[in-house]
Amino acid sequence: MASSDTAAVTRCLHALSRGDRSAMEQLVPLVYDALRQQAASYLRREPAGHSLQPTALVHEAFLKLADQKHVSWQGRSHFFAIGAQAMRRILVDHARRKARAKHGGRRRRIALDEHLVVSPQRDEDLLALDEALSKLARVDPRQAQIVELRFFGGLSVQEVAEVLGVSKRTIEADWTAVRAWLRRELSGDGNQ
Amino acid sequence: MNRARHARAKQVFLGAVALPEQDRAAYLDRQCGADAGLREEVNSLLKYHDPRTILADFPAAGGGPSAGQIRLPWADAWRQFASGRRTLIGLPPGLQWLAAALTSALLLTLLGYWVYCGMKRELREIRANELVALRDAQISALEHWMEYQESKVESWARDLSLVSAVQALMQIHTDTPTVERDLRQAPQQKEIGDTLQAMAGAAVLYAIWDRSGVMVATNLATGAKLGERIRAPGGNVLMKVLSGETVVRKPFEKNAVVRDSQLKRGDRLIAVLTSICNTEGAVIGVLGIADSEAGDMFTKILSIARTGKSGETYAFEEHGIMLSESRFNAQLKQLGLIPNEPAARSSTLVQVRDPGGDLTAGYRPQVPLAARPRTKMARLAAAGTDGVDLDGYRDYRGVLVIGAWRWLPRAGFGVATEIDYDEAYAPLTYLSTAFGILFGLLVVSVGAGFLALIWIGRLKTQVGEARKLGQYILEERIGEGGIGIVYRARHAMLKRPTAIKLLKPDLINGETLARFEREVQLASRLTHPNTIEIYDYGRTPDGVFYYAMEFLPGLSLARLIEIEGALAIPRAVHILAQICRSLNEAHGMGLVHRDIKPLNIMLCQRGGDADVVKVLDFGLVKDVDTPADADITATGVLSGTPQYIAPERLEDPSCLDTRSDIYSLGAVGYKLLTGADVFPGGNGMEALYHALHTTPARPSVRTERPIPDQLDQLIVDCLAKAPNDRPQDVGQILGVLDALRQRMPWTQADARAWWQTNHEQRTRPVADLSPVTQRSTSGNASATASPGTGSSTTLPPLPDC
Repeated sequence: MASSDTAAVTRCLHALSRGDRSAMEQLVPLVYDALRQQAASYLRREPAGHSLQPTALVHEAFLKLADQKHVSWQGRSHFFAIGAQAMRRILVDHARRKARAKHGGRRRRIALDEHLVVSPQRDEDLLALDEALSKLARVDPRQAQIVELRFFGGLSVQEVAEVLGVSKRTIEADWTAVRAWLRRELSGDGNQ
Repeated sequence: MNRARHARAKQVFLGAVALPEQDRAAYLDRQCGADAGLREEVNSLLKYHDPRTILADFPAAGGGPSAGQIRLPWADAWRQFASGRRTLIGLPPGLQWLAAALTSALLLTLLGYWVYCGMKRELREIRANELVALRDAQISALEHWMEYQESKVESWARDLSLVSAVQALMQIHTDTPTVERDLRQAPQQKEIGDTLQAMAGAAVLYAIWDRSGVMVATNLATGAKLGERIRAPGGNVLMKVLSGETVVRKPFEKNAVVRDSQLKRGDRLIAVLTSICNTEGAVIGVLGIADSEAGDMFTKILSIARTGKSGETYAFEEHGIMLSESRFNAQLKQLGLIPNEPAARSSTLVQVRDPGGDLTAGYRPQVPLAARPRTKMARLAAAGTDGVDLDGYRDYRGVLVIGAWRWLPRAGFGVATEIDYDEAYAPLTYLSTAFGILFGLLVVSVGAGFLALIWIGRLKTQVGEARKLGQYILEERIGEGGIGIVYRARHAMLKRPTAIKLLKPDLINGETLARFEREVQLASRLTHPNTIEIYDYGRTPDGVFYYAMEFLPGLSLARLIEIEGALAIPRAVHILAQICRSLNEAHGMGLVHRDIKPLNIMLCQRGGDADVVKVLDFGLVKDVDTPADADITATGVLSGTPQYIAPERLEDPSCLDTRSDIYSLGAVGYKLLTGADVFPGGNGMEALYHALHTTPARPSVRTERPIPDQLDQLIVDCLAKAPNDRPQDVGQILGVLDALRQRMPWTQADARAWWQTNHEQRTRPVADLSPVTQRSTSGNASATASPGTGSSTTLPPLPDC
């Protein structure tokens, strides 16, 4: 990664932690491009069922893109928030393209495994999750954002609380509720 | 479902989740009431409620431990990274200390400057008021005294017998040539003298002039004669007096008017002139009185207020001649400004002129007295400017003084009050001295602190180097890792060279220490000659845990491959077989090495044998590596080298399977035979990916040298992804290797030949590094290890198991 990019990212993160929201517009494409290149290089070598670690990728992108010595914790949180969003778009786009090729665009209901864990390795999971999250965003944007940050950004409850600027307790409660909601949604049992 | 309903359902759901299951129905009844839709929504959510997580998650966040919980792989790396950051922030402690010292020095300087300026401002004001008050008091005393002199002489001039005597004398005077004699011989001369002496109570010098300026009576011995007309300057004064004014003349030396010893020598006179009126009130002449007593008085009045050691007030005329006495007469005599005679006085002799430098400090003026400029004060005063100077100027001694002055136009002289600059501002000197001392102390203590810091640091190193640990004397520091420092040491009595590793105390708590002790105990039970021998372990009083092991001069396989590239096949077999024997014993005891890689395998000469393999670090430190932070479980971080780690350990870092060591052994064999890594991608994510998914190319494909099929297949088998597809124990491998050794032996002669040609010049730098320093013991260790440690690296955290 060019050092000019590193400087730009670090600068944007600084601006963000100072509360300058406009830096976001500059930062999002930088992060998105870097993540997509990185993801693409992994996906290219992957014949079937990629075993991509989205959160590791976001982390790696951060290590590559930001001058860690000069980024505050807050700046880091912003990066991971953006990274999570970008990662979701990349993964979902990729999964969609693949799903279209395989199934002619037909989506399937997913069966959660015994651990009830959504795996980013399965395209079906990703697409269903994406759809559920879009739906959730309409009724409870914060819950949707929590899932995005935790799943695609890999942030802990504490870190999500810092990014969203609400208490850890609030995030914990929302997280408990949204788990049930998602589980129901992904099992195809949503009543809405 | 809209936002409000969703929020309401969430709220009720959370309320219900918090309750025991049997209470939930009642709670829902209360909360939902008749709202069947809401109740249904909450019920369906409750149906899917599960304390376990749905997404990859941290233990701390997912709601309790559960089988389904999955660790987010990068979390630990994040934490390590975040905790590592703390040491990056800010300055090193020494520099922080220096910064604090500099800041306090700066603050002290600023404070001192502020106090000094404030004090100086105040002091200047005080001095100004003082000088002006003194000057004004002196002037007003002088003026009162002069008024008294005037009125005294005026009253004499009104004396009737004097007036009539004067009138009689005025009858005599005509333009006759005998006028002088006529006047002197007139009886009225004596009458006037007697009258004036009677009124004054003592002998006084006097002169009387008529309206035309002709002197008609006097007892002065010099100057104008009786019957002569007064000359120009005196005439002007006379005109003033004739118009009705009484004039006090500034002091003058009596020699100007007295020839003989009519009066004591050295006296200064003051003349008062007033008009004489006849009985009708018309001015008929002028009476002038010169009084030596008044001359003394003049100086006395001005010397009343001599403040401190150097404060004085004096009068001076426009050419700079001093009219009153200086308080520094003794000094002035030494300086040659007045004659060095007991009777010498400064008034009318000293000139208020700037010598250009401090005479009292030994300055020798470059120009004669007459050519020197008047002092700043005298110049300004003579120009009619009253003022105060608080910044300091040189006085007639050349000493820096501050002063206040005023010109008295009517009297024709000025009055100045001065005090030495040093005395005036002495309080400031104390202040600046005090702050100077404080600042000096600060500088000294900072300097001393720094020196002490350096000294302590040096001592520490010395002490550290000469330190004793139990029976061991530490000799030389030979390496440092993330968790400890390795020293070469010597047993106090056995003198056996030993490597000692000290573990950093902050990495060990009670629990990890117990586990670590178990590991060391287990490892020290290993007795195979191909396994490094653990001699001892213990704990220093200050809580540093250490263990002692064989000191191995030699080189690691990693270094060997660096030097040699791919090894000769018999030699590779020879080495692999030794590794197998070492592992065989450990596996038999249930001990898994977990980190077999070239850096952890040493090649050395022992007991006369060359090419002896020593396997390092059985199980050691693996558990200590993970800080016992509640957030991070022992399985969270996997350390190792992507090229040598078995795929099942990537999936579950905690799994303990002897067959994982077999995979690593296969990878080591691969490297020895081909000189190449099993997978492309070095030590990055790519290699990890391949470790999980890619079947490696056979060694025989990667090298042009013929590799026996058996060996080729053995390596491939060891590298099988599934543990079940590998040789199940080391014994199997050893069997194949031993068979190969029969066919292609690597003799001691071969080995010695290599060591003879290579050891001295090539292995030296490596031998200096203790074996234990060359391995990565943890993510932290490898992160901080020097680049020289080669291929060891921290794995990126691993996917879910």
